Amino acid sequence: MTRTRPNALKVLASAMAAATLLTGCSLKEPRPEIAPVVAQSSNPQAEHKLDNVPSLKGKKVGIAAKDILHDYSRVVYQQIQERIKELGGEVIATQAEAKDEKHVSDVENLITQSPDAIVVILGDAQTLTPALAKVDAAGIPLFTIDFQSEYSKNNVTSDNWNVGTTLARTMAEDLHGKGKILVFNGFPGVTPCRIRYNSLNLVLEDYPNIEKITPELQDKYEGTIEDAKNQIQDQLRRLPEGEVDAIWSCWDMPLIGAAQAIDPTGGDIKLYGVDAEPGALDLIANPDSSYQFTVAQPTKQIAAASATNIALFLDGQTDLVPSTSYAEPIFVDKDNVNQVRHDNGI
Amino acid sequence: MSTIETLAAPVEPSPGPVAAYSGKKRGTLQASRLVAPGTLALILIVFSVLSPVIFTVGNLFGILGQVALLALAAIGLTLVVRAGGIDLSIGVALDLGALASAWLIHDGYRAWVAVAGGLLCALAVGAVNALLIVILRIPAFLATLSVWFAGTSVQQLLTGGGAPIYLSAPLVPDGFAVIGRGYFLGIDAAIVNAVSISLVVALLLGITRYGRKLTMAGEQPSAARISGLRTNALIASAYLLCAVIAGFAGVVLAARSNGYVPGSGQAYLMDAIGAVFIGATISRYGRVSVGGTLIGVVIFGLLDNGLNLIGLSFFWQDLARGLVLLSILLAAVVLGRAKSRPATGIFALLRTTKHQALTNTAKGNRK
Amino acid sequence: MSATLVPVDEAPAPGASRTKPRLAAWIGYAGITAVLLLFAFGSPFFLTASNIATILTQASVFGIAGVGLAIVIIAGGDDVLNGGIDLSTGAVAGLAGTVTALAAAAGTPGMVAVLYGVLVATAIGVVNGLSVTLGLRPLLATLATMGVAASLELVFSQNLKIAVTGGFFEAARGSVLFGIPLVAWLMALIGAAVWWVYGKTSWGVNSYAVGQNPTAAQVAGLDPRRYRLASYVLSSALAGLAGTLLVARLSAAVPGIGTQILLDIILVAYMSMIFSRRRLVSVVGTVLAAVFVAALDNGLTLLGVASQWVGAAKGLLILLVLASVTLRGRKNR
Repeated sequence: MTRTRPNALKVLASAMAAATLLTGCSLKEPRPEIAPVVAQSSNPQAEHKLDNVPSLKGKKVGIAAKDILHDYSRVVYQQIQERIKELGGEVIATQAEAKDEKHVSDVENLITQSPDAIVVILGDAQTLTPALAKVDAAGIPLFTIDFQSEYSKNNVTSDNWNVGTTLARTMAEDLHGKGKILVFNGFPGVTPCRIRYNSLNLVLEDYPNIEKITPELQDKYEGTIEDAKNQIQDQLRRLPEGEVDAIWSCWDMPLIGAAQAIDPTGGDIKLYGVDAEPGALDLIANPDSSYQFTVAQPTKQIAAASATNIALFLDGQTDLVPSTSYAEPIFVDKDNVNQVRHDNGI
Repeated sequence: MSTIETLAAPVEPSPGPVAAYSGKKRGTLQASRLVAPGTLALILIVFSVLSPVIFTVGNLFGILGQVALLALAAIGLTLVVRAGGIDLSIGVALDLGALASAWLIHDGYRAWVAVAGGLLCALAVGAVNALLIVILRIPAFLATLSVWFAGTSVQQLLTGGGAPIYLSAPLVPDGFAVIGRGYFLGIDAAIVNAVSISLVVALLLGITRYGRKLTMAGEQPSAARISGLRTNALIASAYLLCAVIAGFAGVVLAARSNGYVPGSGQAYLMDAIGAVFIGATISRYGRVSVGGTLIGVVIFGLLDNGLNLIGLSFFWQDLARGLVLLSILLAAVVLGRAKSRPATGIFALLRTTKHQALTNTAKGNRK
Repeated sequence: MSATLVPVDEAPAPGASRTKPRLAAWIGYAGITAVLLLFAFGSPFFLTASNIATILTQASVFGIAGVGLAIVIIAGGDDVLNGGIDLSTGAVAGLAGTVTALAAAAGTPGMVAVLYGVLVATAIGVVNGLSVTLGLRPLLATLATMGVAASLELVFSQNLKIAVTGGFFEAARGSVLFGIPLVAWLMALIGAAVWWVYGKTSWGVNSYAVGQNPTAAQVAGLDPRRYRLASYVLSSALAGLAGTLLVARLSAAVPGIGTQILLDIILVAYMSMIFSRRRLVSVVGTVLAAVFVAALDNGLTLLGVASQWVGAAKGLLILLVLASVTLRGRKNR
């Protein structure tokens, strides 16, 4: 075996060389030139504020993010770092890989360095409360993104009640108040997810003819797309044809898998999610896809607003910092998807 | 070095250390070897009573399509376990394979470049594993665990903090899409891929000299070394092959799901470990094999599918999986020793421990 | 059969290496001291009392569960495929935490609630132990019970977070004794007790014996099954205790927490090898490794290492320490 390996390598190398020749010396696929989507940010709100924002020079800001597993949290995490640096501040950034225990540890580790402010992105108010109490006791101003805490000086968030009910109502109205839906159970430990899930139940109280199919489906953090695809394939075989009218999820990832299971079959099922993952937007833009609706959250604005509030607060202009800053969600459907992508550069 | 003479010796008595006594009671062990296939049949029967859909051709092929990726990952792991190791980093190889190929496709490269790129990246993971385990002599479990940690970082660094890569369908060349989503004689390409890789590895392990040497190096490392085998090269090759197969699974995943999402691969690890060792119960020597692994994989696939089809809530699904796994293994062990005489019974009880004692002595000597 | 496998020329090797064990024994400590010194020089906060208390608190859950796993590895041998391993430890911790939180929410006094949690965990441990003594591969038996425990946790909690309130859990979380958190004392106490049992008593010596060489131990009249059964029961009980401490730390039982902590528990138990000159898993080493891993996360944050690099840095540092130990060990032969 050891003796044959060099030969095998030679064969492989010559095969690759031959293939290169055959394909016309080019490794690239000939492809029609497509005008790239202009990634311009036309968020006037995000830009104009920067002028009157006090500098963060000499200030140290600790950041503890729950995860960077999906587009929303990752972009907020990166944007807030950039924005704080733009304002002259120093950043210590941590992310907890979606682990609750690590998130608490991250906050504790940040307290040790006595930064001028700590920002917690996503996470769970209950499990973080002991650590946040320590932040408060250490006299470090706490800022949050996307969750409410008694210790937070300012919470920047999408209005998840608005997002949740609009999502649910859009679905209910599209179904004309009648039909059966599959629901991904979501992550009850993640605040925005829980609010959206509860909003769904609240809205469905008014639509007695819309029925949730039991059991609800499991949401997973790892391998979400493939797993969701398998689950939906199984459900479609279990249920009589035409039984499912829509699928709901508190984020886009599982629905990307669901669309991959449904679209090849041409079934008439409508998908509703949140987060505006680029993969989901691609599907919504495709007129043949079952993907109907998602909610884009202005991630850059959220990050910028939080950084601005920190700067104002540390500058002593505490009266300018509201307890909660809401970011307007953007509702994306098949009609406006291209416009939204163009406007927001997503 | 590895000349014919030295090879002749290990080839004949290839049965592992358990052969000496298990051979005596082949008849009784036969029963335990039937446990895994029996369970498979039982699950199929139970579910087909509970759900009319499960036994349809569409559903059965659907299940195979769903487990194809797990099968590939588990086949890779089978090689490593046969060589006496373990690889917790198959998810990293899988992810890097998917990442590289999706990236290359995204940048407009040809399908074969993307595939080769994916496999090369995965190969790099295998090379790191081999370096750590064979040259630095770090225990495989810890070495591959560290690679897992580091691999997570590498993915984040390569993707700007973990951004997924989505390939919009029209831009994916057909040659690439067909790997994951095509149909070959009406059969899902992922199944075709998994089956062909399985066949190749099964032949490699089953009939080639390389397979016998690898088994020898894994089961009796000192004896293998004494008889002149290059155990280091053999074990390293197992890690390399495993990584390449996992990387291929990643390429298939990228083609199948039209993109790459960081950290997708690790989801397959636990099931792959379970499948490989369920597979070991069908062997007289408790040896892992491609056939056995595939039975394990299909058991998991059938269970997941069946539990979904009868509409069991996911709260209970892991319980059902755990209990099935536990009962298969218990049944295999209990049947394996029930009919045997008391004296051999103790040995049967010590099947794993005795084997381990041997490897321990071997390890001690290596120092 | 085994006798024929031991090549004569290599047989005395383990004995021979015993002549100069000193250096090898300290190399693990040296590597770790180097890393800690790096942190201490890199950040003025690293060695402050409050930061050390933080590190110890973070280490304790993993340390306590890790000690349990270390016992399993001691009595089962450190061969991962066939030897002792308990993959269910994380899920069992999660299940115990959920049971405790549910009991506490139903009005059970804190101490009793913890007892319920530990009891449920111990029950899983008995299943593990019996399966293994029946001859199952520990890797598989505990893989199966891991699923069972994780699923029971979902069933009990309905996939919802269960908050715990009340003085007992606050005390478990916040109490400080002589400047050191209560949970760290608990970890030290458990570590010391288990170290005494497994380092100083005949039970412990026998456990090491059945783990290292079951055939020889069997010949010497020991029954490996006793020691192994006990190790799994103890491991699960300690995992259960760790799970209830985690509930106190997070002030809630969080569904799915088991899979989040499993890897770090395994890491901590196996890392203990670097504190042993013969590269054996040890109890004291496990506690030290838990503190080291917590210090690693803490120190990397304090140095301001960007989060994308933390995983790589952690993996590399662990490998560096491991490699230094193994290379050192090879020179000694």
